[in-house]
This record gives sequence, C-alpha cells and structure tokens, in this order.
Amino acid sequence: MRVREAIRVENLHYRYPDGTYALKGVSFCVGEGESVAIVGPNGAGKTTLLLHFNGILRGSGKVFVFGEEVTSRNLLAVRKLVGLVFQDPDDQLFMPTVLEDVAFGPLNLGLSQEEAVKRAINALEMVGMSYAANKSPHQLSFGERKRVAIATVLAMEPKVLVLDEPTANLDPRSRRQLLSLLRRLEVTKIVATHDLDAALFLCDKAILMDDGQIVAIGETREIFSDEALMEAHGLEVPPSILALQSRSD
Amino acid sequence: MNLYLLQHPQSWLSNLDSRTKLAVFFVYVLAVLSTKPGAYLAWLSLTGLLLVLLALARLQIRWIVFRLAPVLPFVALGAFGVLLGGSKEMFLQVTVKMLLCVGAAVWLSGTTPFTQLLEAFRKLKVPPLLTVMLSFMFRYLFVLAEEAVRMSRAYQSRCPRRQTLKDAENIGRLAGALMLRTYNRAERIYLAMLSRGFTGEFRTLSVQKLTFADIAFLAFFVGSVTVILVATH
Repeated sequence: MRVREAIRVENLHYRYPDGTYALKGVSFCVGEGESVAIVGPNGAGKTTLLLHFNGILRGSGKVFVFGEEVTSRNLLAVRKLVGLVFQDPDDQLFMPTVLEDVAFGPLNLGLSQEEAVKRAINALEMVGMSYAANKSPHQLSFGERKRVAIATVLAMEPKVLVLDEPTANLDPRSRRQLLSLLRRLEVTKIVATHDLDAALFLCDKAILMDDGQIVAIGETREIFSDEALMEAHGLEVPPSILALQSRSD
Repeated sequence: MNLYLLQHPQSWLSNLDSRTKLAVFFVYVLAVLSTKPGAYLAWLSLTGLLLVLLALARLQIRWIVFRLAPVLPFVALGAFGVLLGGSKEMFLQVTVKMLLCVGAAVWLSGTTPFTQLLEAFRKLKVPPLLTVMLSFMFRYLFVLAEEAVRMSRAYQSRCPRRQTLKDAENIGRLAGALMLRTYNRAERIYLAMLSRGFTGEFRTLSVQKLTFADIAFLAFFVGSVTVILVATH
C-alpha cells in the first residue's frame, strides 16, 4: 500500500538576511506516520529547515504539507497540521500560566473557550502534566517545561509533530520520560537532534545534513553505522551501535 | 526563604472573581483618599475595615510584614518629605493615607495572584497592548533574572579581582549583551506564537466567573464604606 505524503520539500533554498546560505537545494519526502530524524553538525541548516515546514520561513523552492503547497494564504491551515516544538521551552511557553499557554493554540484556531480548555486539559494529561495546569512556567523544572511545550502543540491536534532538539539539556530520567512519551504519540514525527541514540530510539528513517545540503537519506541504523560517513560530517557512530558491533565482533 | 511567604494563602476570598477584589481595592483607596484632614474616627474605622479584610484573607502577620517591608522605606521617605515642607497635621494625614492604601494593596496581592489580576484587567477592557506587555513581563522577568545571574557569574569567574570603576564599563557591556539576548529571545517567542496560529489578535482563556458571592461581597463592602464615610462626616 502506498503511504500518503505528509511533507514534501522540493529544491528548497534559503538565505538569511545577513547573506548566510542556510539551505542549498534540499529535497525529500516524509510519509504519513513515519518518524524521521534530521541529524548533522551545528550550522548544517536543521533548524532553518524545520521552520519551513509550517511556513515560518519561506525560502525559494516548494514545501508541500499533505499535498498542499505552503503559501501565504494557507498558513493557518498549515500550522494546524504541523506542530513545531522549539528547542528552548522558555521560548515556547510565553503565557502566565500553563493552562492559558496550552489553550493559546486552540483559541487561535477559533475554538470556543470550553473546547480550548478541554483540549488543553487532554493535552496536559497526555504528557502527564495535569497537576501543573494552574502553575506558572517558571515554577516548573526544565523537563516539566519541555513536556508542557509539547502539550501546547498537541492541543492543536497536529498531524505532523516537528521537534527541534527535544532531549537537549535534559537529565537522564527526564530524557527517558520524554522519549517514551514521544514514541507513544501516533503522529508523523520529524526530529532534529544531536542525540543520535534518541534518534535511533524514535526514528526508522534519518536524513543527514551538512552545510545546507542533504548528504544521505536512509534507514537510521544504516546511516549511523557508516563510520566514514558520520565522521566526514562531524558526527560519531552512537555508543549503542558501537556496543552492538563490538559484541558481534 | 520560607515558601509560605511566596504563596497566596487560601481563603474563601481566593475563590472570588479578581474583578470583585480589584473593585474592593479601588473603592477602599478612594474612600481613604476622600477623607478630610483630622478625620481620626474615619481613619480608625477604615483601619478596622482593612484589618477585617486581612483577617478574612487569612493572611498571617509575618506574611503581611514580608510584603510591606519593601514599600515601607518609600512611605517613610514620602512622609519625611511632607514633614519637612508642611505641618504636622499634613504629615499625619499623608502617612495614614499612604499606610492604609499600601495595606489595601498588600491585601489585594495576598488574595489575588498576578495571573488573575491580568485576567481582570483584560475583562475590564484595559487596552490589550498593556495587558499583553504586563503578561510577558510577568512571564519573562524570572527568565531574564536567571540569565542575568548566569552572565554575572560567568563575568565574576573571569574577573576575580575586587570591583573597580573600570568594571563599570564591563558591566555596561554585560547589560548590552543581555539586551541583545533579550531581543533574540523576543524574536524566537514571536516565531513560537506564529507557529501556534497567532495572527495578531491575542486570544486568552476566561477562567473566572462572577457569582452571587461576588456581588454580595462587593455590595456589603461598598455599604460598609458608605456607612463609615457618612457616619464620620
């Protein structure tokens, strides 16, 4: 059976106002229900690419979301379909209380107050943060803020969840909790990360980027096992694969 | 620091709509300000009324002192200024009025978290630009303070000598760097808002509702203030 396209990017170029070329002809496709990791060294263009999926940045080239090209006319519809979780939860959580923050997206979608609260409570339950509904984000730990940041996007019921460095700065327990939460979510996932073990855990497919271009696309384990490829692009074979390799030797 | 001092003690006043408590505050302040010089009986009655409000809010003395402490030096400064330039009567009047108004502000802050006050402002049609700015300030004051502390620690760890006038220049640069970071953060926040469907209109939740208890409490309070003012006129 043919998998429906969730995101398709065609020959995408993007240059920042200061003249830096961040994306140089990126093309790929993500099928509905897939989990895809985007890996690469710092400055490879991962975050810039993510910001194109919901039309925050608009480069030359084309981005399609469920077959519809992202244009200035359908931005709200696209942002309903593609939920973007930023790296720093303090950027994502800007309202005075957690409940207000999680309800912000649904209210912008034009839902009633009751429906927005219902969605917010459901989303907080999904990430195990219901107890923090009336707290201020600054009263939460970093790991808790991260989970609430994911809830703010889940409340909009997106079909594609895009995460920028979801495990950055988390302690091992919070990281483990977050990863199992993400794995449980039944949506298309695109994860930009330096945490290669997390990418292995979450994603079957990986895209390796360097210098604004795609260097390799394929099965996560296959790409991550290629020592020469990984080292050529500032990465390392993750410890879990090394351990398996040494055991098989 | 004792955690109790940072919390809002729970009482039945906590469940009232923040608009009611804001109205009570303004009615009380207006009543205090409308009293004439030498209206000792009125001041005494209004002090009694404030004490009843504080007791209803179940605010402990150490909580009240903790909240009053940062404001008292300003009250003392104002009163001292009046003492230098005016009569003793004027000094007494200004001091009493300032203390009662500050007391009412402490009562308001003890019964109404800032987030609820923001909702009250929004519902009372305070311009959205102002409420949004206050809301962002409340949210990011802590983030900014943490960032400033981190930068200051990094600076001190690379500048272990005693601080001299030369450091003022570096501290100025530090403040500049903090401002640039704030600017960058503001951009990222705006992108996060756009990602969640923000189109320029700030839609927020309405959590609180006016009930019969609000109307009854406000009516009883306004009645008490009117009786005090009329009886002591």
